[in-house]
Amino acid sequence: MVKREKGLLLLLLSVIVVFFIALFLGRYPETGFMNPKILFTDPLARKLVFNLRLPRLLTSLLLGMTLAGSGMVFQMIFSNPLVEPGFLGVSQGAAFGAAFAIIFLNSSIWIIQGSAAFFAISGLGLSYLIAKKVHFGGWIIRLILSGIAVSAIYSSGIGMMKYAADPMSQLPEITFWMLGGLWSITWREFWVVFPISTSAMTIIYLLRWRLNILSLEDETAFSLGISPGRFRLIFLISATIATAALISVSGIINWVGLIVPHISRRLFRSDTTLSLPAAMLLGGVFTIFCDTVARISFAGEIPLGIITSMIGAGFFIILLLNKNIKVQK
Amino acid sequence: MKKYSFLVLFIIIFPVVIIASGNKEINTFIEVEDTTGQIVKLEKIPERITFVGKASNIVADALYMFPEAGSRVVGVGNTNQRNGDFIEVLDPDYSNKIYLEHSVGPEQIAVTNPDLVIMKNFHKNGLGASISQLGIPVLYLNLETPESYVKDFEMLGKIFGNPRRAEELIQYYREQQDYVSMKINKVNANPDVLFIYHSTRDGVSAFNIPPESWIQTRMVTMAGGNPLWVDANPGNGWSKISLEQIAAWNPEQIYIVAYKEDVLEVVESIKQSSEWQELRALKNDKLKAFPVDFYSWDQSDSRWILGLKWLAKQIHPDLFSELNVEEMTKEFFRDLYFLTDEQYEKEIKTRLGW
Amino acid sequence: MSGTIVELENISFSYMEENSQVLKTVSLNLNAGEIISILGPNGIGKTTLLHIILGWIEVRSGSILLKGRNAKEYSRKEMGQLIGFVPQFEHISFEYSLLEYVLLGRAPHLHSLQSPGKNDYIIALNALKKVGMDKLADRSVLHLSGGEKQLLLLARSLAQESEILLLDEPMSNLDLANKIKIIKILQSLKEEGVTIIFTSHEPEIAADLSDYMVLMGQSFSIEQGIPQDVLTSEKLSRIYSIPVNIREIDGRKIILWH
Repeated sequence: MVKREKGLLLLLLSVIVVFFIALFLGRYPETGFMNPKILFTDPLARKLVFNLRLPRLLTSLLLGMTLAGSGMVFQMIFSNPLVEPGFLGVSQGAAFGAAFAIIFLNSSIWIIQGSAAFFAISGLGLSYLIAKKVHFGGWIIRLILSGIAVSAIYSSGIGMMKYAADPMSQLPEITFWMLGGLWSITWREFWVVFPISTSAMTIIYLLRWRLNILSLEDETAFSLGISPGRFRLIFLISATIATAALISVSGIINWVGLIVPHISRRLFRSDTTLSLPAAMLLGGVFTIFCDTVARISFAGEIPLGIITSMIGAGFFIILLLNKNIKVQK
Repeated sequence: MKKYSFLVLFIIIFPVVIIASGNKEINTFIEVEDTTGQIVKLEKIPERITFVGKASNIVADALYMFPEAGSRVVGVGNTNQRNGDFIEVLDPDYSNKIYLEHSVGPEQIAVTNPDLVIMKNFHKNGLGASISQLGIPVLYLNLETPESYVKDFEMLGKIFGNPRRAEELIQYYREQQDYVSMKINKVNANPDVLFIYHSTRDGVSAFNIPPESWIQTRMVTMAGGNPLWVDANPGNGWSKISLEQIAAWNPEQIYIVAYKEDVLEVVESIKQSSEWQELRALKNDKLKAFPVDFYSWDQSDSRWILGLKWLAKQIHPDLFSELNVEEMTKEFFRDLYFLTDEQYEKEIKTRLGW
Repeated sequence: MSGTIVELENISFSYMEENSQVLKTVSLNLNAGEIISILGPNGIGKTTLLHIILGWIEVRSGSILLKGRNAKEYSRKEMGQLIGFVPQFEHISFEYSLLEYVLLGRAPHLHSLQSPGKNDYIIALNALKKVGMDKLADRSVLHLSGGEKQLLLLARSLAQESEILLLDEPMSNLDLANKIKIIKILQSLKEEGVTIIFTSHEPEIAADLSDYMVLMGQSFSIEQGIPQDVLTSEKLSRIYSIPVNIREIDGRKIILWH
């Protein structure tokens, strides 16, 4: 047990190290590592690091922590290691809400956030409700199927809005939702997202041990003195709001919420006392890594969602081949 | 416990941020208000200009009408629409400049160390906002309508410190526009004209019509034609139409463009296809491709004035009989871009296929 | 401790019996510190009855009193500290160590924002010791045999330290040795004052262990009382709808069937 707690500390240190390395990696003044000394002599470098890279990295850290943490919450609550917010209509709902606010409500950033949160929660609710009504297959299949359906509805909604969008200013923004990226993050976006996602994730962090109990049968959780319905709601809404907040500035980012909790459980076991914060830290490292790749691999930026999908799916295949997902059915 | 480490991190970083991005007072030498409503303040005439982003060709074609452009531009965007980069011809020093793809991030742009970045207006909320964070002034050009060209030229005149040249350009465009409009005003009958953009995406061929606000539609009206597709596109961008709809309209004249393909090949294949044979426009040999040198003449690129005159002559040949298209083209490139006859023959005429 | 700890007064509940909804009315008075068993054929509603006592199933009418108070007046946390439940089978989706799993039983003693502390770990370890699995504390729960799993669930409830313990067919999947183990644990719990209510398919063991028995039969019939009175050939035959005979050997009742 002490060994695993040490592991968590190590993870925290790696987050900090990776963060600072990424802060000085880029394409200015050349591609590669920037000597921190030039911060004192070059005002452009200073502005670059403090006004562009720093908020971007902080947001990317938040993004990874939130997606991974929410992914863990979803997986525990639905007792299903194969769900993530993206599968249950949350990501698409958030993107739809954000796009909707941009086109029709001519959006302040707060309205975009609100709209994203609203549709994200609706997405989750719809997936859940439909899954309850379906009479086919086990709970897991039902949930995934209805999640796919709800996601698809929101996706096509986004597609339809593409037609209404101004192709020059609004449309590229919408395409960006679908692929995800952090290239337009400034301090403004960070300070809007930070309080929302941090408070939600803090709630989840403080309550994290209860998540174990929620992964049991409802009647068992009940017998242990928990109101499973109430706690589920608290967890799901917190996770969804936090995710929606991030997605509304970063676009849809898949796979982080699915794969990072797996890796965390492999390393730290399933007890969420450790595995939840571990997932959050791992998520942070993962996203910072992917975002740095997206940022500096080529002259042009690659959408972040593409990198997370590639690497995330890669990890997933490795895990599958290892035959150790440990799902007992 | 772990949460507190992050709090500590933020507490350290926050004051540094405040200090680092302190606002400096600039002595304003040039003050320009662009068409997005923002005011750009510069200390001196910019000597390191970077232009970048989508529609870089349209931006470049406006910039390089000023003789100073070549010596002041340091970062160049992608101006290739399929037929080459016109800017290679315009800027003899092109190979020494830093090339920037459409999708670059602000860091890449920062490498060019510009004192002014010029982009099309639609980049304002995205790339433009990021660049502004670096304290680099950004100027947004509109260049979408004849009216905006006037404003944009005035702005560029200030930027290059050459208001006289700006006046010349404004006057040129106004004169040419008036030339067409004076003749068109006397016209009674406006033939039904269809303008289509042919695109092939994933092997699927499609015909698209522009919305009412775009310059393609306005050009048809200014050239004395009746743009009969206007009600069919209430949106803000290209809208697909079916062959059936085209047949239903049965326009008298059809003008076609194809940015990513050889438009002449497209015209040929249409002429061969059986479905189009019955259309009026084909029977009267009134299906024409817009001229293309480096760029098609229908876009809001500087060549729109050429496109307008050419189109007017096509729609009302009797009114513009004295207009020599080749002459006007040569004149355009000579007066506006300082091309020599040799350059005209080699770069422009060959691409036009005349 | 004595006195009525669980009282069901004319509670009626419906459940499915052979594809039709049946309404049952039950009145029960159970004493604290006793071992009570509930017997009956499959599907008769034994588990449902447990769920009702637990509070997991709402009843249509009648009242439930726990320690003299209406069950509805208890908070969730108080209920968790009062009644524990050991299900017959539990599906585990994730990998925990045995200790972590048993630790979940401490939930009703913790505030929402609290995570288990050192004391809770000690109690959990002791619970594992009681079921004889403390050596396996760090092993994964995913590789347990059926018997070990049953003991694990029991250990969790032991960690819960509830006053009343409900068990749903706790011995159905166990071999003889494990059955005896559980019987001994239940007996020692009784000595600590815990009230134990369990359902069973095995009248002989139940009779031996219980202080009080409830027999649920077809169409509303309920027999309840001390094993002496309840476990007769006539009553059992009626409940199970097959003819059986009861014989006594060495002070223990044996069921003979034909």
